[in-house]
Parts: sequence; structure tokens; C-alpha cells
Amino acid sequence: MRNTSIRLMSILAILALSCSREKAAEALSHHETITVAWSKDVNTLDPACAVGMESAEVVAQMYEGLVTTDPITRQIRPHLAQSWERSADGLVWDFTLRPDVRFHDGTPLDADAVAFSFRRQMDAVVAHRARPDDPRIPLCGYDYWKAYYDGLILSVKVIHPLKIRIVLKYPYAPFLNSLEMFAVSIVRPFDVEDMDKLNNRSLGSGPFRLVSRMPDRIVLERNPHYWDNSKVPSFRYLVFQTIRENRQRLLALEGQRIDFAFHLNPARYPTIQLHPLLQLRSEASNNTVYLALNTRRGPFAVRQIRLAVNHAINRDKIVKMVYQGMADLAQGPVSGNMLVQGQPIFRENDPLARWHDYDPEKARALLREGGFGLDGEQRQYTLYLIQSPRNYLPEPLLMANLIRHNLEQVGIPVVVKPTEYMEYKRILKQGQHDMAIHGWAGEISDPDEYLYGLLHGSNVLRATGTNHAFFTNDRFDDLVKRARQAHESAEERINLYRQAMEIFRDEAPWVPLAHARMVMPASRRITGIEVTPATFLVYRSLRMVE
Amino acid sequence: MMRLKIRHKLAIWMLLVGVIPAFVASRRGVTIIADRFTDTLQDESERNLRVGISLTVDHINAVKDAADSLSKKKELFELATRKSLSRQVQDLIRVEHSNLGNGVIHVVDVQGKLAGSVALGDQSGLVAVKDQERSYESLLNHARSQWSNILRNYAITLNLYSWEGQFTDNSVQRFLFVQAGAPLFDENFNLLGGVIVTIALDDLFCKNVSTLLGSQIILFPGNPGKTQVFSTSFETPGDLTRPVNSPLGGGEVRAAWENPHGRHFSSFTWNGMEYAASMQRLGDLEGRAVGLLVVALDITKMQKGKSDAVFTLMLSALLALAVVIVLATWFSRNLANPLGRLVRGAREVASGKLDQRLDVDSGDEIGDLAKAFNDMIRNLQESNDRQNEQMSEIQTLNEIINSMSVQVGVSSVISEGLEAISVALQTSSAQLWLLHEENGWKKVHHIGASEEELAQLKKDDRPVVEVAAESETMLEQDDLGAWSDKLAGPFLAVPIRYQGRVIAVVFLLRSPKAPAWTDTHRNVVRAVSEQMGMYIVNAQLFEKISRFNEQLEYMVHRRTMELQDTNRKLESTVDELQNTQAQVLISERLAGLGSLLAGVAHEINSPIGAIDAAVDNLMKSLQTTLDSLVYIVDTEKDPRVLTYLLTLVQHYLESVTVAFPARETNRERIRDMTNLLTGRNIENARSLARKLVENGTDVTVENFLNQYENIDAATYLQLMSELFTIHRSAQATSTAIHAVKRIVMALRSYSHVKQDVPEPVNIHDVIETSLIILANRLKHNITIEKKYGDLPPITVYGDELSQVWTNLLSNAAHAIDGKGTITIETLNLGGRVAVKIRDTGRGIPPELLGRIFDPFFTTKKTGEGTGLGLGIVSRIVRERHGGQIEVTSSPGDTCFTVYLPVMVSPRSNDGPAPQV
Repeated sequence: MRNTSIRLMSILAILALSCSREKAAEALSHHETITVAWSKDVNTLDPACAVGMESAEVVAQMYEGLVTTDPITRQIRPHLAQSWERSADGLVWDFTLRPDVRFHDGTPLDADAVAFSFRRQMDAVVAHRARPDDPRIPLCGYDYWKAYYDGLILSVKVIHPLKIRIVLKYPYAPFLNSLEMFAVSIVRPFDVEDMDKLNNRSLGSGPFRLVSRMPDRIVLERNPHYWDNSKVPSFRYLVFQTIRENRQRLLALEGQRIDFAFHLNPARYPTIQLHPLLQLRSEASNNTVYLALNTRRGPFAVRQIRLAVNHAINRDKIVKMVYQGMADLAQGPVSGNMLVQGQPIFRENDPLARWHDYDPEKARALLREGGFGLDGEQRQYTLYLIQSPRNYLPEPLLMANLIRHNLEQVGIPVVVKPTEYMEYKRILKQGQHDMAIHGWAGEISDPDEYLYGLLHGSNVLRATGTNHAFFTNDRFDDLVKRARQAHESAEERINLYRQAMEIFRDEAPWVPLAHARMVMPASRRITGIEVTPATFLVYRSLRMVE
Repeated sequence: MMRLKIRHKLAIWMLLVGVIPAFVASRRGVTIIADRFTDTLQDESERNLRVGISLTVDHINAVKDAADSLSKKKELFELATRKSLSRQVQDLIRVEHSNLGNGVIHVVDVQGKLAGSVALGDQSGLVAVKDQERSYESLLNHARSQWSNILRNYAITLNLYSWEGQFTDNSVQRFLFVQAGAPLFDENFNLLGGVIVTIALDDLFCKNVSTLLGSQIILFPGNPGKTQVFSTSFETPGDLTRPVNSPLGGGEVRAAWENPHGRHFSSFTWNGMEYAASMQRLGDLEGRAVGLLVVALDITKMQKGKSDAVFTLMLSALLALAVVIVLATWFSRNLANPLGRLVRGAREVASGKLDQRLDVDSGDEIGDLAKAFNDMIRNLQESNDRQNEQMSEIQTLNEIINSMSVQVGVSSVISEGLEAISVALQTSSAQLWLLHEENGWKKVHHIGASEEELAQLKKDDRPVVEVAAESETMLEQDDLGAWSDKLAGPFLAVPIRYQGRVIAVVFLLRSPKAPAWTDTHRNVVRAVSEQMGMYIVNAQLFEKISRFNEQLEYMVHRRTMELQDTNRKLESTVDELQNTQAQVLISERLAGLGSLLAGVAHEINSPIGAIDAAVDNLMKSLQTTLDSLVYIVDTEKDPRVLTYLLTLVQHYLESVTVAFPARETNRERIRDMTNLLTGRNIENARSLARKLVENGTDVTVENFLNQYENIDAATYLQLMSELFTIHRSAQATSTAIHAVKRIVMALRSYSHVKQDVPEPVNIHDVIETSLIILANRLKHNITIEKKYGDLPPITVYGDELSQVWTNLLSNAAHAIDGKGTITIETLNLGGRVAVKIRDTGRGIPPELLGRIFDPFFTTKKTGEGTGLGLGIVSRIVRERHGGQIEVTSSPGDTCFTVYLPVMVSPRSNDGPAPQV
């Protein structure tokens, strides 16, 4: 009798308690969770293989590089490496690691891990070149390694449990900047034959660690043991959710079920601005959208005609119409926002930051001067573009049509060719285009990526084929090459780049169009939104107001 | 504590069990209902607010879309280029955009001037404004700012404003309105003007939203604390929104207005209905507050549902309570009555009345309990009697066994045992006969009657003791047949067994008047006999062991005395031996040193001779140098010549280490030098040139002579030559002193007498020290070949090892008799090292090979050696270092190999050497 009654009472008590606890947990989790939604799923969590903004953003929360950029001064600052030494010739770099960093599983982060993170890419790229068909070599192509370090890094060597030596084949001024790139962030050593491991596990040291990964949903949790105590996130969970429908994503944002909705239709921006529960943040970024003129083909080989095209296009109007205020007008190949080792390239009221004016009359005069149409050639000039919208180019077709319209006004007949991505790449590589609309968003935020990567003569022939204007100019090439090797002084580099950009303006192989802004529709309960120079949202510093 | 009867306890428990859960459950139920109600209310009004906001924003979006679609209308292009718009088109536009509510569409031209307008909606809207022109103007001011936004971005613009206008009924009304602008382009993308759509968020808008949402809407334009004007979906708003005493709650409204993020909730009653109000501030593009949206949810029904639920719950809890009380009373009564009778009966039984029986027949478990209780009392009574009997038996037995168990001797076991039996069984006579291995049966103890009486008892001509021993259990007088009448009283003969063997027999006899034996007596005797056998045997064994023990102790004591004696003698012998041994070691070493001293003296002598000569040279050269300097200072006008010369000499002294070029290559240089010197009129040019070249100073001289053409070359050359001589003499002195130092160091280390602990040394250094000491003997035609391996530092007694190498090398030198090769080879074998000293001497004859390590064995002539050398070498290697020494020999090749462990433990100083 006694036992039964006690039992009965305890069951009642437990029932009563459990009701209230469940409710509390529910409330807590919403209070401690920030949810981010976008239109595409993450392809991988391997930092070396991450492609696309989605994977890169997630990976950058879990993994960290040797250095980082100060968000305010925008100077390179120590991160996982607490200090470094550079030999006088700029070839030998010794990095000393912080002694107190641990990976998410508690293993200490040491020089072996750094060597592993570099070498697994280096070795695979070398091995793949030797044996392209070997199935043991990871399928992911290590594109970032190929683009930035292949042929640059000679060796990566551990010289002390906390010291690593990287030797370059030639001096490369943005080398330090480049180490912030997520592709060379440090991973805990693992069995390279088992790539899936990295794809589903948390082998980083960053402020967030992986809790679960499902299709369309990734849950990260703050790393309470993060080495920099002052930077442990204020909230507990960070969730990345794929919601493919634009309308659904916006509804979720309006219903406060998510906190960020990326890739929304720009037409919705004005309404979001007026929504009392939402905010629309935009940040200047370093990308460049431009019209490349094929300098090896037809009339665009003539400098005057290229200048005429520049004068004929009303860039201001086009950028306004296409971006609806969410872009800055480009005044050259490189955004004025871009810094060289923390110093601006342009000065105040810089004449170099003034591009050729919109002046159709002058354009016509230049066309005559350049002998346009005198050879009796009667054809429409092709204007290629990728037809699907991109982060930095929301309405490519509208832009192409506006350009076509401007050019036809001065007498250059144009045919707009919307193309699929792969076909577009093939045509541009083979130089079959007259003009192409292209955009570039660099990963390391240095002019070298644009002036060398997109305009240097050597990139006409390279496998990457990124010089879409097929622009070659010996003096320009020399200046740009010297600038990338001038590792000692930022002033010298800036000076070289300024000279190169003067040549660029006179030769006009491009019509620079816009630097698209990074747009972040977010819930009003979010504050502390910061963006890195490479336009990554700094999730760890986000806060919630309730 | 107060004493409660079981039925009271029962009642209280049942009440608790029934009432507490009922109370907790109903209490909890009420709380949950209240909580859930509050939560649901909060959630519901939050949801309502969110949907309300979404509907509002949708409307704003619709206005924006309308502007966008209008900007693509051809007719409006025409209007923008100052062509009037036909009424038909106006109507069409009105119909198309009637869903937007009340408002107006403006079209401006490229300069921003108003080109035309179309009113939307009915009389209740903006069109009803009394002074239309003026009002439009103020609207247009907003529209102009929209136009400049259009120009800035060429894009659709959108904003919220609050606006005040006078209406036909003279009332001044304020509205929130949403305004969207879109640029008008022609087909060539030229900007023609803009279309600006202005829509009022008025009562009509509120009613539309309210219909979709199912809640009431109030929309304040501007600060709700300052205005009485608002739009709402309430049919009879009246003074609902009075600024101060508004039923909405002035504080909440103000808080909502002032906080840009938070939502605010309150509740109010209006027209007999209850509402939950949630509020959200609305802002324009710059984030300035322009209005406040209030969503009022009708909660009258929900409130009623809540109070119904609470009432029902409380009622059912009370009912349950009443039922529990009734049931508890009834049950406790029914259960407790028979229990009370049971208790009374049990009390009487406990007081000793075992004949008491219970009269309970309730037919349930309590009735069964009473029956069982009665049976139990009956059984209890029976077993009580039996137990008393057995108790006396056990007691007797216990006394007897106790009396035996405390005894250790055989006789005391028997006497005490027999005494106890006799007392317990009240015998007149008791005897115990023991079976001896040799003597057969013998009486060992008796109490009472004389011995003859029983000894004469026989059965079938056999003594009764033998008969008793063979009997299974025991003999009584009836078993004795005819002899029984000879007995005075009842008789009992009990065989005592141990491990199945009869070892003794006990006879018991009672006085003639005593009653016969009872079963109790027999049981006691049987049990005692079983125990007694064991006690007797144990006692016998104990006596035997005690005797052995005494003997053993005595023997051990004697042996110990003898051993102590022997030990003492041995100790003194060992002391003597140790002293002798230490003496022998030192004397051998000193003897060795003596025989070496002559050689060492010679070794020291030659460097001292060199020093002597060098110092002589030094003195002479110093004199000549001073002479030359005095001459130069007197005659030479240019002081730079001397400075330059001294600089050159200084440079030479700093940079040149004495390295003489090969003789063959010199010839050419001597010729060049000779030519140079001859050219400068210097006598003995050739021999001087040779000297300069051989000294390696020719380059310096050449440099100098080439610098100055017109000088007294001979004098300067003289000076230079003397300076070089001084330098060389100083160098020679230094080298010689170093050599002497080395020899003295080696001697000091060799004669060092005792080292207490092993220290790490480089074995090659020790070998080198020995070589230095023996340098004199190893000269002439002896070649020393060193094949040193890569050895780790080993921890040894370095000075003693030095003695080993000195001995072995000295023997080798002796064996090869001044001509031949001695090879020293060292090998790293992992945990130990090996040193091989090999000579090409005459070798050791095989028959002597086994004896060479014996003390005092020698092949040298008397007086040349002590004969202790190799013996001591062997001792140092084996015992001090735990190493091993081996020898192989044939004529022309004798090899001593010493193996040493890398780490010698200091213990091997005292104990015997471990075998390697």
C-alpha cells in the first residue's frame, strides 16, 4: 500500500516536471540559434575542395588559416601562426604556431598538422599530373591550390613541433594574404584515402564545430574551448538550411523562422527595407564585373576602337538599372575598396580613378579614326554571357541588352549570345568571342588576382585561360610581374600597379562595369554584422536582441 | 508521537493517497491551463501580428508591383511626354489597380514636373480631400523626393509616409500611406519620366487586412501618443485610442512607438469584448518611425473556455475528495474489527497462556490468520515439552566435552573425561582401558570400585574388555548373560573409536540401588565416546610433537654456536686479504711508474731543450730588431714605410698559420724572389729567397718591396726577417710547453691512487694518456696503428683503466722488442665496447697462455717485472668493471681483447664480478 502510493506520487511529480522542462528547452534553443538559408546545398565540407559561396561560408566557420585580416585596419594579423619570419629574398617563410590551439576533438594543432594541410593538396596535385587516371587520387580537383600555389610553393617542412617552413620558388607579394584563404586552412591530419571523413566530420579548430550534416541542413555548434576566449560566439547553434524556392525563403525570413536569406530576388529588396521585422544590409566588396574586348580579333585589336566602345557605353545608367543601387560603378580593373597590404591604391580625387566618360560623339569620332568599317566587313559582333544570374550579376541579360543598345547607337552592330557556363568557358578559352561579360570575385583580396590573373600576357596561354581580352603588353606585363614579386614595400607595389593601371586605361582592353555589393537580407533581431575583405560574413560576432 | 490505531492510520493513508494526487493533479491542471492559455494567447497574438505585418508588407509590395507594371505601360510614356491621358485609359487603370485601395497615381516628366494623375478608389479615400489642389501639392512633395530617388538609381523606389489633409467634412485626417516610384523608359532605354503610386493605408486597408486576418486592426499615422487620428477596422472606434486614458494602454503604446525592434503586448476590453493587442512600430527607409500597427485579437471565447475548464477541474477534484473520504471510513472499519480481536488473543498467548484459543471466524484472510494462529499455539505447546528433555541431554554432553576439550595431556583428558561422565551419569565406578600397541589392553584410569571386580568379568572365556571392543555400540549387563549377576548395579561398556578403530573402552557401573540406564544416558555416552576418541588421539599426538620440538631446538642452538664461531674467523681473514690486495694494486702501479720514469724524464727533456734554443734565438733577434729600428728611425725620412712594413707583418702574423708549401712548387717562387732581391741590390739573394719562401713570408716581402722602390731594402728585409724569427721562436716555445704539460697531466692521472665512483670518460682519451706515458718506449721502429671506432662515453674507473692500457701496451712493446707494429682497435658492440691491442711480437707459447693472468707469473727476467701486471689487469677488468679479457697468440700476432660494459655499476667494487 505504502509503496504503491509513493510510486504513484513520484510518477505524478515526474510528469509535472517533464512538462515544464520540455517547454524551457524549446524556448532556449530558438534563443540560441541563428539560422541561415540559401538556395543551394553545400557540396563538401573539405576546405580544400569547397566550391561556391555556400561551402566556403560553412567551411570558414569550422576551419582557420595561419593568418587573418583585421576587420578594421585590414592589415594581416597573426592567427593560428603567432609570428613569422621572412628571408630577405622573400622566399623562405618560417611560421611559429600558437601553442594553445586545439582541434575540435582536443588534439593539439601543431606544425605536423599544418604540413599535412598543405602537403595533401600539393602531393595530390603533383601525383595527379603524373598519373591522371589513378583512382586513389582524390576526385576533388584542389582548384584553389592549382590556381594559387601550384608552381609557387617549393616545399613545406616541419622544423620544430610548432614551427613550419614554407619555401617559395619566386617571391610572391600577396603570399601572406593568401594564407587566409579557406582552402589552406588547417585540418587535423586524417587518412587521405578516406576523404569522406573530412566531408562529414569536424576536424578544424574554428569557433564552430559540426553537430550534424544532413542533405539541405547543416548544424554547427559554438566551440566552447575556442582558443581565443574573447571570440567565442554569443549564441550556441548556427544552422545552414537550403530552401530552394525564393518565395519560400522570403516567407521563412518574414516568419522569423530564419535569420538570413541569401540569393533573394533583387526586386524584393525595397519591400524588405520597409519590413518592420527585417533589415537589408549591403557591404562593398572586391569583385569586378567587366566587358572584355577580344584584342586579337577584328576591329577590337585597334586601340581607338576599344576606346570608342568605352566612350559609347553609358556605364552609370547600366549599372543603376541592373543592380538597382546595389553596386558601385567600376572605375578600373580593381575596386577602390581593394587594399595592398592594408594601404589604398587610389588617393583622394585620384585622376586614375576616373574612367573614360560616356560620350557617344567622341566614340563615333574614335571609330572613324580607328577605321571602323573601312575594311568593308559587314557582320554583327558577338557579345557572350553566362545566362544564369550570379551573386555579382543578378540580371546578365538585361546588362547585355543595354550594352548592345549603347553600341548600336554609335554604329557597332552586336548580337547577344546567352550561353551555358561550360560552353561559355570553352568559347572564351579559344578566343571565339568579340566581347564577353565576365565577373571575378577574388579569394585573397589583392590586386594581383585581377591585374596578373586576368590581364597578364602569360594567362593568355595558361591552362586557366583567364585573360579573356587576350591582352598582351610588354610594359604592363613587366610592371605587374614586378609588383607581385615586390614583397618588401607596399608603396613600391602600389606605385607599380598605378603605372600598370595607367597603361590599362590607355589600352582599354576592358570596359570595367561594376563592383557588386554583397547584400544580406536579415532579421532585425540580428546585430553585429561584419564582413571580411574577401566578403565572408563573420558569423561568430553576430548577436541577437530580444 | 501520538499513538494511532491501525484503522485511523488506514483512514489517513487512504485519504492522503486519494487526496494528494487529486489535489496535485487539479492544482497542476489549473496551472497548465493558465500557462497554456497565456502561452497560446501570446503565441496567437504574436502570430497574428506577424501575419498582420506580412499582409501589410504584401500590400506595400503590391503597390511596388503596381508601380513597376505601370512603368511599362505605353500610355503613360505618352502622358510623360505631355500628351493627355484618355478617360478610357484612366478607367482601365482604375479597374486594374482597384485592389490597391484608395490612392492616386502621378506621372512626372523627365524634369520631375507633374504630367498627369489618376485617382484610385472611392469617395472615402484621398479623392475626398476638400482642397484637392493643395493636398496634391503636399503629396507631390513626397512624390518629388521619390522622383529624385528614381533618378539616383534608375530603379523602383518605395517608402512609407504619414500625411495630413483636410476632408470634405472639415475634419483633418492623417493617414499612413505607401508610395512607390518607377522610372519610365522608352524602347531605347531613355528615361522619359516616372510613375509614382500613392496608396493610403486607411480604414479600407484596415478592413481588408482584418477580413484576411480575422483580427481587428488599428493603424496610427505618426506618434500615437500625440494624435487622436487613426485608421481602423473597428466598426465603432469612438474614443478607443484616446491618447492618455486609452483602453489600449498608453504606456504600452508609447513603449511600442519608442522601441524600434520589440513588439509589445497588452489586453483591453472594448464594447464588451476582450482583446489581446500586439503592436509593432513601422518605419520608413531611414528607419524613422512613421506609424504603429496594432493587431487586436478577440479573446472573449478563449477566456470563457479557460474559466470553464478551470471550473470543471475544480469541481471534479472536490467530488473525488468526497468519494475518497466515504470509502476510507468504510474500509478502515471493516478491516480493523477482527484485527483487534486477533491482537487481544495474541497478547494473552504472549503472557504464557498457551491453552488459549482465538475465536475469530470472519472467513477472509484475517479468519485464516486466526486459524493459523491457533495451530501455531498447539504446535508450540508440544514442541516446548520435547525441547525441555533435549536441553538437559545437551547440557550434560556439553559439560563433559567442555571438561575434556580444555585438557592437553592424555592422562588429564582421560581423567577429566571420566570424571565428568561419572558425575553426569551418577556412576559408582568408572574405568577406562586403553589399547597399547605392545602390551594389549591396560586399565589407565578408574574412579570408585576396585580394579579386580571388572577385570575378572569374562564372556565366553574372553576378558570383557575385548568383547566390548568388538561390540558395535555398547555392552549392557544383559549382553553378559551369566555373568550379569556378579554385578552390583547397572553396567555399561562403551568402545571408544577413532577413525573406525577401537582405541579404548569405558566401563560404567552404578550402585546397586540405582535405577537402570535411560535412553538419555545412552545417547550421552554414545556422543561422548565419539568425541573422546578424537580428544585422546589428539592428546597423544600433541605429546609426541612436543618431544620432537624440544630435541630440534637444542640441535639448532648448537649448530648456530658453531657457525658463529666459524664466521668470526672468516671475517678476520677477509679483512686481511682486502688490505693485502689494495697494497698489491698500489705497489704494482708505483713499480710501473718507477720503470717508466726514466723514459718520461727523457720525454720532458727534449721540449725543454727546444725552449732553451728558442729563447736564445728570441734574445738575439730582439737585439738585432732594436738595432734595425734605431737605424731606420734615424735614416728614413718617410715614416709611412715603417708603418706599412709593420702593418704587413701584423697582417701576416694574424692570417698565416704555419703551413709550409710543398718543396716542388717552391722552386719557381724561389727563382722569382731571387730575381726581385737581386734587382734591389741585396746580397746573398738566392739563399735569402729560399729562406723567405720556406718560411712562407715571400709574399709579404714581395708586397712590401713592390710598394716602395727607393728604400734601403736590405735593412728593411733584415728587420722583417727578425720579426718573423721572434714570432717563430715564440710559437716553438708554446708548442714545447704544451708537450711538457701533456706529459705532466698524463703522469698525474696515472699516479692518481683511488677513484671511488665510476665516471663517464672517452676511452680513447684514456688510451692516449697511456701512449703519452709510454712515448719513450714506443719510439724508434715501433709503429702505432690506431683503428678507433665510434664509441659512446663509458662510465668506468678511468685511472685504473689507464693502468690496464699501460700494462698491455708496455707488454706489447716488450714483446716486439723495439721493432714492429702495435695496433689499437676499439669497437662498439652495443651494450659494451671492445679494445683490442695487437702486436707483431714473438707471441706467447701455448703452454703458458693459460697462466699469464696468474699473479707473479712473468716471462721477463728477474728484476724486470713484478709478475703482477696481467693479474692486476685481469682484476681491474673483471672485478672492478665487470668486463672480460681474452688473449689469442701465435708468433707474430698476439692480441689482447678487453670487453667493457658501457655503464659500470659502482657495486662491483664490493661484490664479485658479474660473469660477462
